[in-house]
Amino acid sequence: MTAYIVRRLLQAIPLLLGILTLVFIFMHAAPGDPTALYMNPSIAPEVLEQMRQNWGLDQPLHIQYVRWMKSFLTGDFGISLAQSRPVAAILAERIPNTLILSGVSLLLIFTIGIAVGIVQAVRQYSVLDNALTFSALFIYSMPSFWLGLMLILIFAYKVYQVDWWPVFLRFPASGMTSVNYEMLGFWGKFGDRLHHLVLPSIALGVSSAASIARYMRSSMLDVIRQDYIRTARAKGLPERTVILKHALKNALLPIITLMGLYLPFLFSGAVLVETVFAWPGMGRTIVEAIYQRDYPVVMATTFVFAVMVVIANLIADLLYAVVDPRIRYE
Amino acid sequence: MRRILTTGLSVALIFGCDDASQQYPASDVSEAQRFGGTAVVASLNEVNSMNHLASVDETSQELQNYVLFTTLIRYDESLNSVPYLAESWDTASVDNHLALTFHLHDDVYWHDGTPTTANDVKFTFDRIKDPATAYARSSALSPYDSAVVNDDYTITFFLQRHPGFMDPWRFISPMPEHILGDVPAAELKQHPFGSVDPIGNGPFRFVEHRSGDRWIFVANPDFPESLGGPPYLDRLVYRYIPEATTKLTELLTGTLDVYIIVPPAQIAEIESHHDARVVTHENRNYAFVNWNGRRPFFSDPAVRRALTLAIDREAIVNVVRGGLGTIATGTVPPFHWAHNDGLEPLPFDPAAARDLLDEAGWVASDRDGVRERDGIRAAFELRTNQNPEREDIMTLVQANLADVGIEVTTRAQEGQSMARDIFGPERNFDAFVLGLQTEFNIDDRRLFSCSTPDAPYKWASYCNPRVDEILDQVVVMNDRSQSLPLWYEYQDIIQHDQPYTFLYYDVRANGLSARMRGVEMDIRGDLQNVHDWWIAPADRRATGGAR
Repeated sequence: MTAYIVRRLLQAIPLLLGILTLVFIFMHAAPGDPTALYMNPSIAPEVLEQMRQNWGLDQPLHIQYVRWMKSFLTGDFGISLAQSRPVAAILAERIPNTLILSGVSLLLIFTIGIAVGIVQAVRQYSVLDNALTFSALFIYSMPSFWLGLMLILIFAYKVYQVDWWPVFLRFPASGMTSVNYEMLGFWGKFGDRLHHLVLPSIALGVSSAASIARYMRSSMLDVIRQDYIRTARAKGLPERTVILKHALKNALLPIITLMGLYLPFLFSGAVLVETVFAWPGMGRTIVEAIYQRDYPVVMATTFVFAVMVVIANLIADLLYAVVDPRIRYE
Repeated sequence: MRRILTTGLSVALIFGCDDASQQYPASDVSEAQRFGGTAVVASLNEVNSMNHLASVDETSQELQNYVLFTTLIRYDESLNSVPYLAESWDTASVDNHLALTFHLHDDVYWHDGTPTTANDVKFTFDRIKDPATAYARSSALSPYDSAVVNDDYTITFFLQRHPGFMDPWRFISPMPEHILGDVPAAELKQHPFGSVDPIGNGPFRFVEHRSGDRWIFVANPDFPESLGGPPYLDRLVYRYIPEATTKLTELLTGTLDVYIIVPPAQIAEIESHHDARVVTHENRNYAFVNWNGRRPFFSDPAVRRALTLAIDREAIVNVVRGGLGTIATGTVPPFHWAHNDGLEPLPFDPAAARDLLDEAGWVASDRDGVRERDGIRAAFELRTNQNPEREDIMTLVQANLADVGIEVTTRAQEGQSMARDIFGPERNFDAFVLGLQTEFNIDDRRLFSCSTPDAPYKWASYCNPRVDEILDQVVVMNDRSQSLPLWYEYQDIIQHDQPYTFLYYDVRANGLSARMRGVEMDIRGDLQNVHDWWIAPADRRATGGAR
């Protein structure tokens, strides 16, 4: 197993280098450069030229590439051209924010999705099944940013005008913490953070939960028609054990594949949700950096994304072995 | 200061501070009770650096100049220089040059306890003059030759006479030499001082910066009385919230106090809410359509005049800006002393436009209804960057011009790839819609002089020898009464030649929560009197018990 993990990680290295090289070429091939931030008639062209020189952008592309690669390989991500601070510091601030948001969403997606899928499969063609199918499709077809805006409108605005609505269900519209965060005690801080997480994680996760529920339902239906399920029932096991112990494990296999696919998707979908909820995460960082042509930040964030994709897929592959004893990695 | 909107729709939107003080009579709250409370400001612009030598966009500068640092002088509401960090200044003539001496207050300290002295001013001046710093607005100091520190609190500059020589000291915040003195000029932009641990000398101290999220400042209790003493507010939180709906929600639920740049569509919603109000003020931006003068169709001033006559600018202001704008006549906005109030903008007159086009030889002869001359069709591509307001403007312009037989196709282009096309010496475009910001010291040679036709901002490829003469003269004339007739003539010529079709001078709408008092925003900026903002004790947020 360990050998397999090491081999997979080693295989990822050329892949990551290839991705970084391509991104480097594409970013520099795009028109414009970071000095566009300063474009203004009152700013002399010589000043912009000097900025390029200070940032090393006046060098030929291959030299810039070698320079960047050198410092990257020594662990130095450089300094953001637009934000005037070390890229490592930016990442250290933003990665945890993104992990919190997408982690909570992922939890939400899989617990809700799997639970709903099981219920639907067990009660196939019931009113409940049809109602859940309808709402799953309804939610699935909503874009996350629109859903986010609607959540804000209802749960962060309209409910403030309803007197009987409980205060803890009136959510903040944006940010990770309240203005008075520093003055709260430990549990106050914890609650405040949780309170801020509710709407964005729902906006980010709910449509994926709906699709997971669809997959789970059909996968479960396949499984419960198998002979070994009939055997389990025949030997008198309670239905609960049959479903949750015998059927679930096998039905989860395709869902695990999806998890590997969803993690990167969550990061990209987070751009819109992060914008709507003013959540200072990685998605917004990379999009803003691309528009500003903030090369060091684009390269570093791309790297982080690529690493996350590789790791997510590795985790999915390892989970196969956990749920399916037939799969072994030598 | 003119702060009146001319379009009918917007009259109902003007709610000044008077309105708020009626709701909450100021006399209830004594001077001493005004101290305290947290104000939360949110903007769609992210502020990246407090280092004045690194970051000079408008939003960063407001935080630098009004919150964390101090400038040598300020402008009063009539835009006259008044003392600030410099308690006084005097000028003397030294063989054809001007010697400008500032006497600084001796009781202003950096927030780490070091006194702010003339050496800090000299250091900042030297870095700005050093090309390696790449200080964006270095050209503002181009009349300045050198600086001499006379004693700790006196500094003399030697400069060539220039009508706007005081203006730079309004926006340059001296930086601390004892912290940045050893940083090589070329590395100043990347130095962590700007975004990690800035130390100022202004009415507020820096507490925390979370990138992409917020800046937090607290009142500086030691801010000297000679500069106004400590500010009323205890804490100032400056948040970056990109999405407009989110800011609206935060304002209306009381978690946001000052919402910078409210889109016209949200104004009615805010006004209908009893806990919030909208204030408007003129700002320094104007929107325009630039015609590429190198294209045969746009090279004739009569045709450009026809284009302006055919565009219903009032409709644009009303539809796109919800009335927040004044129809523009040129590059000199109404707040500026040189603005020609008597100059009426060209009317919306499609019939006159058709006549002008006919006279110029552009006639519609075939069935498609598009005018032609010498086999060239009056058809062009109008572009803008990805900005919903400007895309709407393009659509309106397209419809207006179709009525006079001109075919317009529109294209919203990614900002930097559009920049490549419009700034490049090939001028690879037909026409575009953009906005520009006016300086208090207007120097339009960068836009309209005949020399250096390939310079980035000569995108109109406009050349008029008389305009050239005027622009060269007005920037060196010290006496406003002498240059005023020239400024008027310049505006007349621009109106006649229409190198751009000037659309409107922007009026900014900001949202305020009812608890905010004493807020006055004007052409000098949204935060210009942040020092005097206050919140009555009863209106302050619960702070969770800690204070």
